[in-house]
Amino acid sequence: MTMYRKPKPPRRASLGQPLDRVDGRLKVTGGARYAAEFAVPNVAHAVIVTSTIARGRVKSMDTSAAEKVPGVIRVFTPFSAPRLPGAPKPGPHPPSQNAGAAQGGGPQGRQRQGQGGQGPAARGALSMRVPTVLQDDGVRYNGQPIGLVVADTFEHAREAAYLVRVRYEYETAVIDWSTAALNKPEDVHPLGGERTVTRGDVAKGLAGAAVTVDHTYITPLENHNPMEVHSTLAQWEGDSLTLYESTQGITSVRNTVARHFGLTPDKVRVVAYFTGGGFGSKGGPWSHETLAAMAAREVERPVKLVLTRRQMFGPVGGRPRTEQRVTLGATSDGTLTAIRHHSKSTTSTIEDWVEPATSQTRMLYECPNVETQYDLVRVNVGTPTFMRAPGESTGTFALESAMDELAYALKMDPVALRLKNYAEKDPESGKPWSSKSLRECYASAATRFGWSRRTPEPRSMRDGRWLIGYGMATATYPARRAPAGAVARMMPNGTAWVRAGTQEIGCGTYTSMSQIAADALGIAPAHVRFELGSTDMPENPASTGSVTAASTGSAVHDVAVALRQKLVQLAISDPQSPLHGAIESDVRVVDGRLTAGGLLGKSDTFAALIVRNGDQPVEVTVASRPGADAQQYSMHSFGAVFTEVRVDPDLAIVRVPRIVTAHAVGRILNAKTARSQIVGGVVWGVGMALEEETLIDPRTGRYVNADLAEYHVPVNADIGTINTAFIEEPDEHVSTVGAKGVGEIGITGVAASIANAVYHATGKRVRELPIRLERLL
Amino acid sequence: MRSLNDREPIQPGDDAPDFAFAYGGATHRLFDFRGSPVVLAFHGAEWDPARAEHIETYNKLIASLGGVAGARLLQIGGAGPWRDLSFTDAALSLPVLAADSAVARQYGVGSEPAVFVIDAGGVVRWSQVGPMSLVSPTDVARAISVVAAPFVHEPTASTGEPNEAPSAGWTRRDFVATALAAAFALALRPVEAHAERAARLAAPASTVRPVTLTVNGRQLSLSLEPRVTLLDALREYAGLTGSKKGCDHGQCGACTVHIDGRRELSCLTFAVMQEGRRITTIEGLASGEQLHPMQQAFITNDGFQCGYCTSGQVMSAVAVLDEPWGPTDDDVREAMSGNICRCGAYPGIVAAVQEVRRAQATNGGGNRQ
Amino acid sequence: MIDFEYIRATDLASAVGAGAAASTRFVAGGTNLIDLMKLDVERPSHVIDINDLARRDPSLAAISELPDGGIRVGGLARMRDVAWDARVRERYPVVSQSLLLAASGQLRNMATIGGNVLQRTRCPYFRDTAMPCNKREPGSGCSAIHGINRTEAVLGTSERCIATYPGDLAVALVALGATVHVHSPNGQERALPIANLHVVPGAHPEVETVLRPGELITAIDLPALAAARRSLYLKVRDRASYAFALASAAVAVELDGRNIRDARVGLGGIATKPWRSREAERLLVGKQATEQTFRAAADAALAAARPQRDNAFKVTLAKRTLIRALTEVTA
Repeated sequence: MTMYRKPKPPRRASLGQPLDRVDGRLKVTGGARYAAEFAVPNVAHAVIVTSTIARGRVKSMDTSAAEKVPGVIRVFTPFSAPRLPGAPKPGPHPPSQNAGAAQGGGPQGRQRQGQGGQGPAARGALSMRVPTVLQDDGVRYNGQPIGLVVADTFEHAREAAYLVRVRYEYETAVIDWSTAALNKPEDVHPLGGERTVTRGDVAKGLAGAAVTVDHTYITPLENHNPMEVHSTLAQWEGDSLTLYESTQGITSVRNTVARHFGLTPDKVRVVAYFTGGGFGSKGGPWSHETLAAMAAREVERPVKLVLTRRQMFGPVGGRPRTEQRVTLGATSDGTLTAIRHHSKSTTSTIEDWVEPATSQTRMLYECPNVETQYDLVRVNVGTPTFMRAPGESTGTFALESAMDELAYALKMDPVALRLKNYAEKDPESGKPWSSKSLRECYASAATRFGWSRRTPEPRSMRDGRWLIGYGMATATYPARRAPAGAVARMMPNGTAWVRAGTQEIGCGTYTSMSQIAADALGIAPAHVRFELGSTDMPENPASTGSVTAASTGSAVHDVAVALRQKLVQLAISDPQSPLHGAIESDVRVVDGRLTAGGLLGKSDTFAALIVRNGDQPVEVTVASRPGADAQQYSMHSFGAVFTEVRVDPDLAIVRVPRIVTAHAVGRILNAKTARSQIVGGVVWGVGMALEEETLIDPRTGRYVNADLAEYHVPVNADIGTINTAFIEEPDEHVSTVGAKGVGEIGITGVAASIANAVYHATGKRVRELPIRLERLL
Repeated sequence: MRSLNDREPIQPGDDAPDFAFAYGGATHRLFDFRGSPVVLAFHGAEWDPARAEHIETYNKLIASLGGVAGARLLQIGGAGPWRDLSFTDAALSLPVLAADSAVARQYGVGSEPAVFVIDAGGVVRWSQVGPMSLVSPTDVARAISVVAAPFVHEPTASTGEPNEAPSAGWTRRDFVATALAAAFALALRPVEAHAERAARLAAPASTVRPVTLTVNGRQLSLSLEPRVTLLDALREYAGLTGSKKGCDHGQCGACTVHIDGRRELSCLTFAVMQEGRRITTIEGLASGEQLHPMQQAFITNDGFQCGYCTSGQVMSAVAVLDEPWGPTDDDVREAMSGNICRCGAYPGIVAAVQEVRRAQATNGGGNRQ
Repeated sequence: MIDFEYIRATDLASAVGAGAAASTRFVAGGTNLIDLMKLDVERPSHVIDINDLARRDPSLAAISELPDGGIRVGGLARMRDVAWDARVRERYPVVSQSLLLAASGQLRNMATIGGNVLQRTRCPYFRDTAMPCNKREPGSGCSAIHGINRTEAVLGTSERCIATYPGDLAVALVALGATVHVHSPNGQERALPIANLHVVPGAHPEVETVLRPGELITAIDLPALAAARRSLYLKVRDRASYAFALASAAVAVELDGRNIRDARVGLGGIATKPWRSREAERLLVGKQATEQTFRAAADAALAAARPQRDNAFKVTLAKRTLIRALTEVTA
C-alpha cells in the first residue's frame, strides 16, 4: 500500500546543534543518581578486603576480630564464601576467539573480522572476563579481592575490613616485566587478530630506504580513575536480582552475573541511569558486582559495595605497559618504504589481554612493506583492559613519534611527510575509505595553529626564558557499529518516549539521542523523552569503542522513522483526519504537525492522532544492524593534533598552553557535546604525555601511588587553550545517522604531538612516557 | 477500615517502598522514577467522579503538577490497565495502576484513599492517609514544589506551534475513567525525619550521639558515631547524595560543600565537628526551580560530562568568586585546581566561572551565597 | 578507622590536659588526621576538637601585629586567611606564596597553621599499612629505601627513614626564623625556633617533632626581618597545581645594591624536615648577587645530599630551583 521512503530532512534540524545537555539540570543540582545513591531500604554496607602479596595462596584468614566489631553481619573469605555455579576458574585464559569476533568494542578484532559478524558487544570478550570472586585461595596480584565484610554501616564495615588477619603461602611473584618470560608466540592472541601481520617485505623495504629510524618507545601502566569509583547496589527479591551499577555495559554485567549464579539473564536487572565516567574500566563486569550480589543473597539484605580509590588500582583494570619498537624506512623524498612495529605489553596471570598498539600502523600510511607483531608478558598485576582508545593511544605515541623522528632525519616538514604518504584507500585491505578528510584536518589545524611560524630547528623558538616547541601528530580511530535496538512511543500530548538500553557515561547520549529522534520524527527535541540504562530496555552495545553514536544512534533513528511512518499511515487512513487519503510521500511533519502537499491548509498533529486512537499510544520497536557497507568499505575517523609546549630550560617544567585539533568523525550529532568529547580526550592526552603512571613496588607488586594525590591526572591549571574543529563528512556507510563516533579519537596522537613539541623545544627526544621533568633535566 | 494493613502507613521521612509492575511488556519499578518527584495516589472507595468538587480538586492538582518539570503522578486503584498519559508541555505523565492490594499493604494503606508525595530521592516527604475531606490542592502543590528536583527532560521554551493534545475535555475524560480521591491537609515535613529513621537503623554503639546539622537552612537531627564524616552523614544518613565521594581523602574535590560560606571538603571533617555551622550542599544552591547562575553557566558552557565531579565543581566555583583571586583565566584555573574532572571539562568550567564573574561585574552585585 | 571518643574542647587548659593522654589527637582542620585515620595509619582512641578554642579566645585564630614589627599568626588561623592577609602578602611574600602554592582552595579553607606545619609525610609506604614502615611501626623496616623512592628525601635521611617532609609553609618559616609558641599540659607556655620544632628521623623516625604529648601550637611569630619583604617561594612539582613539591625553595634576601646583606634559604620537597640551609646562606651573605654566587650556594646546600635510586634528579632539581629563586628574588 505504501512504500518506505526516506523522510525529507526536517526544516529545522536539531541534529548537530549545540543543544544544552538534557540531563544538565540534574547534574548541576545533584539530582542525578549514580549507582551507590539509590535509597534502598535496609541496605547493608560491604567493604572488600584485598591481598597484600602479589602471588601465592591465602593460607588462613582470621576474621574473629572483624566479626566482633559492632554491626558486622558477615565476613566472607575464600573459605567461607558460597560456591557459585557459573564462576570461571582464574588462570591464564586467552580471550576466546569467539568472543573476539563477537565483541563490538574489541579494538583488535574490529578491523580484520569485519563489523558484520559482531554480536552485541556485551556478549563478547568483556563478559568472558575472569573475575576473582572468592572461589579459590589463589592470589595473583597485590590488591586482589580476597574477602568481603558486610556490616550495618559503612563505618563498621571499614573498621572490620582492617581487622581481618590473613596468612599467606608466598610464591615468588613476577613483577619486573623486563626480565619476565615472554609468552610463547602461539600463546599470544590479540582479540580477533593475528600475532604477526605482514604485507610486502619489510627487509627489502628497509634495504631500499635512504633513511631509516629505529627506536623503542615505552608507555607505562595507567589506571582509568573515573571520578565515580566502581559501585554496586545489589538487591534480591526471591531469585530475581537488581543491580544498581556504575557501568558502561549493563548487558554484559547482567549476563556475567547471571551466569555466575546459574540464573537466566532475565532474572537479573541492571540499572545505570548515570555512570560517573568509565573510560573503559567500566566496560564490563569485574569482581565487585558478583561479590555484592553474593553478599546480598547470603545476608538477605540489599548490599551496597563501593570500592575505595585504592581499589581502583588493580581490581578494575588499567592500561598495560607497552614497549614498542618502530622501524621506518623512507626514500630521500620521504616516501615510506617499510614500517615495522613490534609491541610488547603486560598482562596479568589471570587473563591474557593484548594492548592492540599496532592497529593504526597497518592503515595510516601508504606503504608497501609493513610488519606488525605482538608479544605478551604475564606479570602479577591486575588484569589490563580497554582504556580510552586502547591501542591507538599507545600506538600513535610510538608511530607518530617515529614519524617525527623520520621527518627530522629527512629534514622534511612533519606535515609534508605525512601528506607524502597519505593513504587514499586502506593500504591493508585495499578497500576504499567510507570517508576520509584527513588532508582537510591537517590543513585546518595547521592554519589555525600557525604552523607556518615554526622554525624546524630544535631550541630555535623562545619566549623570554621559555623554550617554545611546536609539534603535531595524526589522530585516528576506527569507526564501528554494532547491533542495537530501541523502542519508541508517541504519547497523547505529542511527546515521544524513546528507550534504548545504552548508558550515559558523560558522552551526552541522553541529549544526542533526543536530537536524533526529534529530527526523524519531526518534533522538537524537548518533546522527546529519551530513556536509557536498564536491561529491560532493548539491548544495546556497551558504551565502549566509540560505538554508541553509530550503533544506538542508528537504532534510535530507525525507530523514530518507523514510528513516524506508522503515524503518518494512521493519519492518511483515518477518515477523521484532515489528511485522510493523502499520499504518504507527500506528508511532511514539522513540530509534530502533519501537512500534505495536495491538501493545502489542512493539517493534523501527532497528539490529535493519538487522541483519536482512543488515547492509546502508538509504539514501535526496532532492531538495527550494520549493513553490507561494513564489508565494502574501510571505516575510520581521522584527525590532526598540533601542540605548543613551553619548557623551562633549567627546571624542565613543561606547560601546554595551546592545542589545536581538527577531526573528521562523520556527522556531528551535537556540536557542544562532541566538542567536549574531543576536549576531554585531549586532556587525557596531556595526562598521558606528562603525568600518568601507575607505580608498582618492584619487590612486592604493591601499587605504590594508588590514590589521586600521587597518581597525577591533569588539574585545571594544567590545561590551556584547546581549540577544536570538525571537518563535517556525514558518513552513511558507517551509520544511518552518518556519525562515526567521537569518544576515543580525541586522545590519539596527543601524546606524540606533545612529545614532538618537547623535542622541538628542547632537542631532547623522550621515548618513554610520561615526560616527567627528570627525563628532561 | 484497615483490613488490608499489615503495617503502619509509611510516614514522611521513610523510604518509599519499591514495587514492580508490568506494563508494555516490561517490568517497571518505582525506583525507575528516581530523579523526579512522584505523587503516589491510592484511590478510595468513596471516590465519586460525579461530585464536582472531586474532579475540581483533581484538575487543580494536575494544573499545579504541570508546573513542576517531570513530576509524576502514579495512581493505584481505579480501573483499567496501566497506561501512560501525558499532559501539557511539562511532560507530566500519569501512569495508572490497577487496584493492587499488595502495593497498598507495602504502604500501609487499606481501602481508604491515600496520597504520598515522594521526592526525587525516593523518600516520602508528605502523606495523607485516611478519611478524606477534599481541600485545596495547594498543600500538595507546595509539597511537590519543595521536593521537586529538576528532571532530565526539562521542557525548554516553546518550540513552535502549540500542542493541541492536552485539551481540558480529554483530561477530564481520562480522570473520570481512572479516578482519584484524596485530601491534602498535612503540612510538609522536612527531610530530617528520614535521617532520624536512618540513624535509628544504625547499630547502637556507645559513641553514637545526637548530632544536629544545619544543612541548606534546615536542621538535620542525626544519630551518628563521631567517626562518620560529614560526607557520609550527608550521603548515607541524610539521603543527600548530591555531594559526591570521589576519593574520600581530600584529593579530588567532588565532596566540596560550603561551611559558613566557605568551600570545604566534606570527606575530611567529621559531621560531629560541624554542629553549629552553616552547611550548604549542591541541593541547597538553587532557589526552588531557579538555578544558581553558576549552575546555569555550567550547563551553557558544558562544564561537565559524566557529572560526577560537577557538584563539587559548582560549589567550588561559587565560592571562588568570593575569594580574592584575580580575574584572568589563569587565576580561575589555579583557583579551581582543587576539583579534578577526569572527563576533562576544564575549559568549559573556566568559561562558566568567567561568565558568572562578568555577569556579576555587570550587575554590580556580589556573589549570592 | 576505629571508633573513638570525641571531645569538643572549650578551653585551652582542659584541651592540653586531655591531649596529654595516650592515643589522643587534636583535630582542627582535620585534613591530615582524618585522611590518615581512614587509612588506619592514625588510630586515636580520643579526638579532641580544638576549633571552639578560638571562639573563647579569638587571638588563637587571629593575625596580629607584634610590637617589634613582626606578625603573630594564631595556631588556629586558617591557611587561607594567612595567605591572603594584606600585611603578610606585603611583608612576607614567601609565606603567602608558600600557602597559596600548597594544597587546594578547599583544603586551605580548612587547615590551620598549627596543623599545617605538623603535617605528616606523604611517603607512600608510610600511608600503606600493608607495608613496613619505621615511622608508623618502629622497627618494622623502611620500605622506601629499596622501593619506589622518587619522591623521597635526599637530605636529612637516615638508614631507617627517608620520608620527605611534605609541607610548604614550614619551609618558608624556617627560612625566616619564625618562632613557635606552644602551650603545655602543665599550663606553661614555651617558645622555640621553628627550625627546632621538627627533627630528622635518625634512629627514631616515629619522632617527628619536639612537641610533648598534649602540647599545642598556639601561635607562630613571623619575625621583623628586612629580608622578608624581598622573599619568594618557588615550588616545582609534577603538575601545575594541587601537588606536593618535588623541590621547592624559600628565599629571602636583603640587598645593598647588588651586594647581598642578608640571605635566608629554606628547601622543601627534598628533606626529611623543613630544611634551612645555613651553608647556602653563608655563601650568599656579603657576596654579589650573581649566578655564580647562587650556583655556589646551591652546590653547598645540596652537598650533603644522599640520593636513592629514583630520586637523584632531586639534587639537580633542587639546586636549579634554588638558583632560580635567588635569581628572581634579586632581579
